[in-house]
Amino acid sequence: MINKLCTETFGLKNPDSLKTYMDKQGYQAWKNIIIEQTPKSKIIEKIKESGLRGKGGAGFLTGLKWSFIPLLDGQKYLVCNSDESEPGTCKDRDILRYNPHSIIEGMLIASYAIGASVAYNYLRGEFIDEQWKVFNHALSEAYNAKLIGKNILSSNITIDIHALIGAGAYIVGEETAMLESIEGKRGMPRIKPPFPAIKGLYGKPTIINNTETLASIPKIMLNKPGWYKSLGVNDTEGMKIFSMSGHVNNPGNFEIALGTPFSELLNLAGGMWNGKNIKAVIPGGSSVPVVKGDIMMQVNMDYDSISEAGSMLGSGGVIVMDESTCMVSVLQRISRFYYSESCGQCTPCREGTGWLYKILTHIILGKGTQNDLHQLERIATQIEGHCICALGDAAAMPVRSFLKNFWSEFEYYVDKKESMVS
Amino acid sequence: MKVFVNNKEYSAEPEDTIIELCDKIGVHIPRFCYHKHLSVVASCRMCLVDIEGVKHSQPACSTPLREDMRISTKSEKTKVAQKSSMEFLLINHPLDCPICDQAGECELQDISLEHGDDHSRYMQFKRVVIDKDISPLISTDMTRCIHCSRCVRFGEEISNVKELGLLNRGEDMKIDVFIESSVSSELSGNMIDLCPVGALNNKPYRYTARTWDLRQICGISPHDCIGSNINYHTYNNKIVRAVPSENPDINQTWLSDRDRFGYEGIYSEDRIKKSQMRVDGKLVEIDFDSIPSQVNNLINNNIKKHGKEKIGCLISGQSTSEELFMFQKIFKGLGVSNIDHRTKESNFDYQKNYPLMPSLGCNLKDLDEYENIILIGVNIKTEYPVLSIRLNLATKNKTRVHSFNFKSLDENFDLHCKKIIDHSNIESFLNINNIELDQGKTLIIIGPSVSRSPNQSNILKSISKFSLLIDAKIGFLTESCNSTSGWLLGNVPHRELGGNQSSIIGKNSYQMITNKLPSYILYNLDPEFDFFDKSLVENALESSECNIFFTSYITPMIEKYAHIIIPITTFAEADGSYINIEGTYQTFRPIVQPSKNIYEGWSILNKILKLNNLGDYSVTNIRDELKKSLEGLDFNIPNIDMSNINTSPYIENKISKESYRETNQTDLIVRRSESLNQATKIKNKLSYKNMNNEFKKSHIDITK
Amino acid sequence: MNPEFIINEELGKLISNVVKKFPSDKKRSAVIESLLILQHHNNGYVTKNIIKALSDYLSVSEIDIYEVATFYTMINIDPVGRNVISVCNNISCMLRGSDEILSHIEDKLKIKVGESTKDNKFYLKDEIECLAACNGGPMMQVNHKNYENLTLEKVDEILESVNDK
Ligand SMILES: Cc1cc2nc3c(=O)[nH]c(=O)nc-3n(C[C@H](O)[C@H](O)[C@H](O)COP(=O)(O)O)c2cc1C
Ligand code: SF4
Ligand code: FES
Repeated sequence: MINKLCTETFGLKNPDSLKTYMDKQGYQAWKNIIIEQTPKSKIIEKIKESGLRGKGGAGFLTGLKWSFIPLLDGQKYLVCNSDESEPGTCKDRDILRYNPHSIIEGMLIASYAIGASVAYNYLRGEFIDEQWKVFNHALSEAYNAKLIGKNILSSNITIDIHALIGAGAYIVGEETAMLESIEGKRGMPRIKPPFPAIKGLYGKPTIINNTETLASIPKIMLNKPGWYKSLGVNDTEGMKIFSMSGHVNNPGNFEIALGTPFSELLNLAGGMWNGKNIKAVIPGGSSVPVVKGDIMMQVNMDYDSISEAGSMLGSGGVIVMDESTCMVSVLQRISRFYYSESCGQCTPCREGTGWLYKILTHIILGKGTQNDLHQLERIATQIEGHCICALGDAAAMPVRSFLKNFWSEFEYYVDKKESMVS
Repeated sequence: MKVFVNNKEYSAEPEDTIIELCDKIGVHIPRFCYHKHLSVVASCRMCLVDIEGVKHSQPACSTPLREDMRISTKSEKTKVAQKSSMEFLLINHPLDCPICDQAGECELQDISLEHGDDHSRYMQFKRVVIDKDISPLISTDMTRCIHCSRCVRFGEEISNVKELGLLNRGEDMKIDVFIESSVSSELSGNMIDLCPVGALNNKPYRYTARTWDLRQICGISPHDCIGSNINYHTYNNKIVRAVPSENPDINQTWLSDRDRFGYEGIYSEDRIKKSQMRVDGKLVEIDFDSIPSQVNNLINNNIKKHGKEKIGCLISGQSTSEELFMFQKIFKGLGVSNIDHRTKESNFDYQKNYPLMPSLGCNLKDLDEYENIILIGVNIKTEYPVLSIRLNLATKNKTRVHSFNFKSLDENFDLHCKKIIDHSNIESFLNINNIELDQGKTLIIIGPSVSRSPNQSNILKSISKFSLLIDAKIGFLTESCNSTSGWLLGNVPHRELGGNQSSIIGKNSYQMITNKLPSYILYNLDPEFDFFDKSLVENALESSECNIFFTSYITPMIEKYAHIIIPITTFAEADGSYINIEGTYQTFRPIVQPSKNIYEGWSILNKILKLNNLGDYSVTNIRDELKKSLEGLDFNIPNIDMSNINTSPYIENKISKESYRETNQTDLIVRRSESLNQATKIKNKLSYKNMNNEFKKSHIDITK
Repeated sequence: MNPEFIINEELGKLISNVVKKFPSDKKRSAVIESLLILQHHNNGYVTKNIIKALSDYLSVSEIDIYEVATFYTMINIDPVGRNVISVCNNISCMLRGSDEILSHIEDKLKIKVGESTKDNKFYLKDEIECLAACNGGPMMQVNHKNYENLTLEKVDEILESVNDK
């Protein structure tokens, strides 16, 4: 049987309804906790033991993150990060519309474990039509079933969950920027330390987790220790949803065992589009380094293998490019994105992303020189590691990796004033 | 805790950041966004330093120190990191230093000389930001902005009036006001100082001089009793600009706009240039030489003719301590008791029970030690803007501020409660049930609107009783910058120099004016604005035989009723001193030389004193004697008891109740500052449509 | 145009529902969603007077709201067409031909990205964000509804089916 955590209801009739979810043992984990009054520390221990890593991009150990929350009484918050905006990533959107209850249950368990009585799910503004409506509907179903709110299942426990909507800003996906946004401000990342677990929303201890991370919680809690770990293959542990996009026949979301060879994943996605050859892959959302196709074909989809290949698993947005792809144009498009999404507070990011994009545009217009290529590299190095949040790095890493892997193609472009592939 | 900076060992406070330590030990770290009085945002990335064992350089302004941390502010890695930040900042910054007002004092210019690359890789792309006219006091050149957000944080954190915001994002980010509004807070000029580049500039000063041609002389603000320290910048014997001079105990690094632009008043067109005398009903200019004896004769003749009790001597509390000292020296020496500086007041039953001098009751910097502060009859935001900064920080700490005023007034800090009091039932209003106090110390601050009240004695008595009930201390904020000296130096009808009781009690200012005396001496006063009631003054001057005016300005009433006008220096042209409300005695030198026929006020008075054989002083002598009389005085008066004031019943409408001071009308100099008057006009219009041309030609494509 | 904007009972109700999600002293948190609500009721953009009205309603300063309004791309402070078209042309969609879709729409509506049609029926938003439908590329949103796996014909159909209110 294929094990599924977040995608179990996908493809079922009325996948988002409470009934469908309940039929699949939904809210069982939560009910067990309520009935048994499971100690918080036991839940955190179990998540720690599972080895679950955050699915938002950084891959931080979820249980460890939760354990940073101070034990003292007082208001605490949980925030679910449904801002999903990293180009190439579209998994949270499907969980939101096809399995919203798994998020709600995950949020309940997490809130309980960290002692938060209020949790927010922050959806990106562009989700205002479908996902926003579906999630809000699911919330009201759960409220009506007394699974959330005051005195949950007559247990004296109160946890409220509210859905929040953004208004168009990629940077709000960064956890501290999200907190600013929830406070009704411009989404500008905060300096760390202090970390949100100590001083987060409204200055109170706060845990922020990605949608997929939280949606994975109920199944982990429901199963025996060791179960989640055992799902991984090829010496790795756990599961992950990968969004396959670009030049593949069947783009889509695939929840698979970590460690699955990339070639298998490519097969799941129907193989290369129009049977062309694979040229390059961005394995974890547009901010991670690009990997050449032939190398990627040897890689397993897990944190270590991908990192050995010189990239990162990131958010699991796998962008596949075939031989017809112009790498200069792709990089220009990626740079444009980070340029227009920089919040603007850090000098290197605000000015550097613009500079990168403008030089690349210059090159695309046939005005570039060899010197511009070195300039690009230099600017990227100057940005890296010098900013408040990781957006600066996200803008710099693609530039460095594209140049490194496809230098000759860039050279060709500046010399011939046209793309190598067209 | 032990840390190493450039291989030298230092011991450090555990809470400090790297930059705080380096500032203490004198190791320079470049910075733009960091400012010691503002929150840390660590966004400009200019302060990046190399820390041993850390891969990338870290911002010194936000990185806390660790035991055994090894920081290098000079290593190659640090240099490269700072150089790149500089380079990024210069990409979009115009390289127009030759036409920029900030040149010579531009932090960007300084740092780029030191840390930047000499050649520029800044290509053809330059951002251009269209400028708007946001204030008559601040000119903008937003293309030069480096987005350090100091100005925005100033509004959010210090003045608590957020007028500038960060709009848009990324490279399009810009600093601007809300649609069609303006910058008009009483503290707006501080943003000029905070701006490290030439984006926010001093508008009146614009293009008047280059910074390297300026002379700098420190002065003391004559516009309120806080006594802010100001560096005046002069060019060709003219003040062209004022900036704060840091004094941690008084104004820290701040100034009110009134302090900053008030000096313009000394260049007002109604400044008197020469002595004048009425001959055949007309004022004619005369040479100064004979003035002291002429004035002396007039005084003595009038005393002889009408008696000592028939001459009224009124001096402004804006005068320097030297002037106040000399003034009473002459008249008390001649046996005249009708001396007063409290020209805005009209009810004096209280004076016997009044403390030696008005005082805040604590040091300015200690205000945040109070759990409760009750403001009565004062609007700190407009009347004492610099003080509002302290109160803002105090309220963010633990202080609850209550505001009791005769009309509804807003402050720029959080008020725990705001109540409107009625002149006629003040006693029942000041009731323990009417206020919700925190455990701890309480300070009642009494402002000028109380002293201006027609029943001020009643109010003071009630406040005093109230203070005993709630175990609170009483402090004052005064009408004039030097009211404290006015009291202490005997410029009141019932006390002598140093505050001793007089044997004969003279007339107070109200009595002098309403009794229509045959002669008056007005020193440094605008009859039109500096009295409780303009028409009463006019009646008095009209019916008097002899009106002697020592003044810097001519006004219609002076022109009409003066018998002799003696031009005197303003604060800017004389040696002087003020005592501020916490009791700090501050002296200053002339900032510019007075014009030809104008002499220092105290020295003219000294000449008259000499003619009467009552003494002969130099500035040093005056100050010695002055200090002697101040010796041992405690401004931290523990308990003021005015509960025994013998008051006459309150009579409604005895005189006008208009009692609140417009921020830019408080004294005769600011009243004449053109820029401040413009600012007032705009503020009153509320919405500020761009006054001049809305769009200014911007820099476009430097490389073309 | 009415110079003053008044938050009527209906809008007040919607906004107070937003306010309720947050602690009682954190009304500022409601700014973003409130702006979206108000903009929806004002042909897709907010004005100076709307910001002023919201400022009074939430006791948040005007400049603070203006900062937010200019930071988030879904909030318009200039008038725009009644129907918003966003064509994702980020990398995944680009690989599947979004540039062609976009120029087709530009030609069809005779506008460039960032502009509205003369009759104000359509506003073609300058969409640089990825719209998180990468596996459905090329895709676009019309009034925030997703349309995926677009072809030129499909685009024509969709645009023609937009019923102007
Ligand atoms: C620029 C930037 C954008 C991000 N966007 C997202 C996002 O859209 N969704 C998300 O879950 N995490 C995003 N993150 C990561 C979050 O900061 C945070 O690490 C994550 O939500 C933590 O959840 P996890 O531990 O469950 O992965 C972003 C980070 C950065 C620096
Ligand atoms: S790195 Fe960029 S996006 Fe991140 S905080 Fe700095 S300016 Fe904002
Ligand atoms: S001074 Fe440290 S980042 Fe600006």
